[in-house]
Amino acid sequence: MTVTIALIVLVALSFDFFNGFHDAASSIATVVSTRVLTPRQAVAWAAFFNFAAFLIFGTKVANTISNVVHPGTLTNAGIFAALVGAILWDIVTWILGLPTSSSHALVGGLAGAAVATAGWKTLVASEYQKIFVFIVLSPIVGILLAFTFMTGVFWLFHRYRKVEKLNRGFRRGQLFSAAAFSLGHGGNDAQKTMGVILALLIANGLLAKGSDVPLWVVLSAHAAIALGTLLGGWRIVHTMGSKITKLQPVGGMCAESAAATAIWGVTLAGIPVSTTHTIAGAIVGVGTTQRLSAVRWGVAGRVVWAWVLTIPGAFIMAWIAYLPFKGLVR
Amino acid sequence: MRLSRRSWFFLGMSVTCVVLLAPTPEKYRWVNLSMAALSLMWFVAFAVEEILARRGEGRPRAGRSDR
Repeated sequence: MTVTIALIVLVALSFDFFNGFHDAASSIATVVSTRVLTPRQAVAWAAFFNFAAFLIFGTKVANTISNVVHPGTLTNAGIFAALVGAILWDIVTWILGLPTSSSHALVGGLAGAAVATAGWKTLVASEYQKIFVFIVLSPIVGILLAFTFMTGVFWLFHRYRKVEKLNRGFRRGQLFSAAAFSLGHGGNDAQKTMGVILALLIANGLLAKGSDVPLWVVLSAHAAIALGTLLGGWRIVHTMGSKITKLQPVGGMCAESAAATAIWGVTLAGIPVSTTHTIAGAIVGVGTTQRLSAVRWGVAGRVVWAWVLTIPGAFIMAWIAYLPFKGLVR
Repeated sequence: MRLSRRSWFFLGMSVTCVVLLAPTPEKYRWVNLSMAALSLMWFVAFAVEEILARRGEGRPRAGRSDR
């Protein structure tokens, strides 16, 4: 039993690692595409702030994730299958270079495994409703805040003639915005893994219902996502940073600040959102300050399709994964 | 009234936020409302700018000779 739990915790941390590897690329994409940092410097910067996030955010998102399925209905095999389904989806989309959301892959995976274990009634509709609403809202918030920030910056500095000096300032500013975004990313995404481990510990009677996330879970989840970020996913950096729209340091700074504002807000409210959705929306928002045709809608559309398919894709993978595991994992 | 695609884009986002009000838990509805208001503000700003620019194009400019 203890070996099984340890193994599943290890798989959960591997998911967190892949989350860093897959999603965190989006947190460095803008800073790399504007050449403020080299790719190596950017991943080190992002990884540090992914880890440091545990000092700022609580564990509200972890509690939401641990409550998407009625407590006690997910078995060890179910949790294992959910993680396998989400990891498989992440690997497939990483190979295809699609910036889908690991968070939604996990939500889809948990749903698939829960339905395979005990049917549709195990899903907590109100939690899924909240998650689905914010799937749509988070990119919209990213677009609007980025557009507003960018327009505000234009209004403030349009008479300023020392362009070089201004650009240097924005490049420095982007270091801070990238740090804020990485903090938000670490805060929201690492907590999803914490939520899975929390559900596992409660399901096995190692923690009482309603317990707080233990410190070792918090630290190991943040360490895993930071390590994943450090090893980076370069294909997605390219899609996010240059294919959606061309970015200047000012645009990168505004996109990251907008996405960071949105993610900090939802993390403090305990809502699991996709950091990839939010930053992609923010990049589109920056692009629309020029004109709509500055955004490559074909690429943005491909990204949207990947998002739409994530929950059903991970659901099916976890559902299929549960079948062999239900006899093997106890 | 012919408006640019950018104006309609912001109006569309505003409408989406309002449509999502029903499924959004009450606690978080302020997000929808504030985003709907913000995008509506941008829609109105762009629409007014475009209408004024079009009117300006139709009028002869004052203080400019035809030489």
